[in-house]
Amino acid sequence: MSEQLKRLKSLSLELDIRLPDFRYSTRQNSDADQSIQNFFNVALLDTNQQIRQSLIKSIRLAFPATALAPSFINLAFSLDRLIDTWLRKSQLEKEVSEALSVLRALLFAAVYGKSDTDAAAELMQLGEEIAGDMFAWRMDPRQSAIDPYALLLRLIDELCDYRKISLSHVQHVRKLWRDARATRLEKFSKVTERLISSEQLRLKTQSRDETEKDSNLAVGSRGYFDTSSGNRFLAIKRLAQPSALVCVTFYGVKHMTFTEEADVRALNHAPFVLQSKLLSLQQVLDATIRGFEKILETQQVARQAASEKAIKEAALLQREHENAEKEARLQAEKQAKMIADRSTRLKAQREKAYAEELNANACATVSKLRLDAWIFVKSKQDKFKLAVKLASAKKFVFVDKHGLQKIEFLEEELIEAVSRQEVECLSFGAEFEDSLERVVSRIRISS
Amino acid sequence: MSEEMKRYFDLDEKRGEARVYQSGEMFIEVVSAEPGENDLPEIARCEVVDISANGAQLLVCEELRIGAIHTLIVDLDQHHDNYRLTAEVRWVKPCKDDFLTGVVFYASEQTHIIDWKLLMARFLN
Repeated sequence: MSEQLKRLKSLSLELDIRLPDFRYSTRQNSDADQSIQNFFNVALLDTNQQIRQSLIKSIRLAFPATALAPSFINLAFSLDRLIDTWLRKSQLEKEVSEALSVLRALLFAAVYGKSDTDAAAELMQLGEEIAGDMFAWRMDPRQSAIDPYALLLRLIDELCDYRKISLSHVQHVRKLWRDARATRLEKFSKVTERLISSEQLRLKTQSRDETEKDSNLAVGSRGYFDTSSGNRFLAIKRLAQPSALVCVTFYGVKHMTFTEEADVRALNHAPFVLQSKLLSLQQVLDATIRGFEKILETQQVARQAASEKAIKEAALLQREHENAEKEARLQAEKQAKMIADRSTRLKAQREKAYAEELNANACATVSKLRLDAWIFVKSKQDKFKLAVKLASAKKFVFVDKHGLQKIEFLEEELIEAVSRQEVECLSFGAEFEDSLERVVSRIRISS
Repeated sequence: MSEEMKRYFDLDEKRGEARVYQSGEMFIEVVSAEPGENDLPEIARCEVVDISANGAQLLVCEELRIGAIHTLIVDLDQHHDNYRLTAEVRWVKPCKDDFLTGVVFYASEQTHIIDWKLLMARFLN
């Protein structure tokens, strides 16, 4: 059982349960640990504390604004469920049920506060024993001398000291309970023996039938619960010839002796509920663990699925993002290209216009060139004179000042060169004839 | 034209076109005046030996460089108009103290080559 409790504790760590109205700490070892120890110290001692009825409610009251470790809340939730289920199915008397409800707080303190699952396991076994022993119990002031309820309350008070919670202490309490039970069973046996004898005499039965199995008050008693009247009774003796079933109360007092076989058989049906064996805490704990493991598995599957979904979505988003980026990049490139094209076009247009302007200027310049016009050719870093202008070939022949042919241009080439400013026009030659004429005239006159 | 000149001329009688013997002068711009300079062009005054529609044979007082293209003004005797032409020096031969020089006219625009050719046509007729 100790191992199961450890498992329950570890499950409470793993489970992803979030109860409303709680603040959860992101850390498992909450800063509230010290206050939790104080909580156990105080709450267990106070018999009016909610902790004996509901861990969750008492925690909510004790820590209204504190962020708590999920394991703390989850374990409390688990133990609440464990004890509530067990008590509900055990169908104990209200007082006993309320008394045993404190087990949740004791288990919680042992498992969470003390991390002592052995003590907790011992507590569970003690609880089961008490439940079994107290199955048919009913408050009866006349039987106060042998009533174990007072002892139960006293032992619970004994247990509800947080500082004392340990395996040895629980074992000690359990021994007290067992000792008291032994004494009580001794008395019970004497009383019931007398009853059986008297019933045999009364019914004139010829022989004794076998004793009902486990007819003592321990776990596994063959007890019946009459749901119509709320009475619990114990079947302690089967008689034969004639057949009869002797049933007693918790204190060994005759409840009823069924003499008709039909009545006996009727005990197997409603409104009677046979509780030959009480539901053990172990079973409920196992069921709780299985339930939580199933939840955990479901959660893990869900988390795995969610994780895969998230990965897929992330991948999809990533692709979309990349596509969007790519699209944006392409768009930007397209726009940039459009802008560049437009710029290029405008530039080309400007350049063309400029070139055309230059060309036009160059055309005008070239057309104005007359023989003996001078140009400067940048590539040769020299000046040349237009000596020949051939219309048919559209050729311009340039010479140096000594008449030596230096460079030739086709008209287009010359226009291009002028427009590119590779050739600069220094003079247009219009003045030549005048100057030459003047010189020639001077020569003539002088001769 | 002296006999000696004729001899030289005869030796150079290689042109396929008919020539005209006309006395006159030619003024050759041997060295041009560059723009931006105050120097005047250097003009060589030479004697016309013969002329044709596309060339001329001259007696020049200085040795011109073969291949050089010069602007020249032709002033023929017994002819009022001057002709401005452009010619390339094709050959040069010493002739006493001068140089017998053969030039070819260019059919260049802005010269009087058309008028010159028409004149030659008239002369040849």
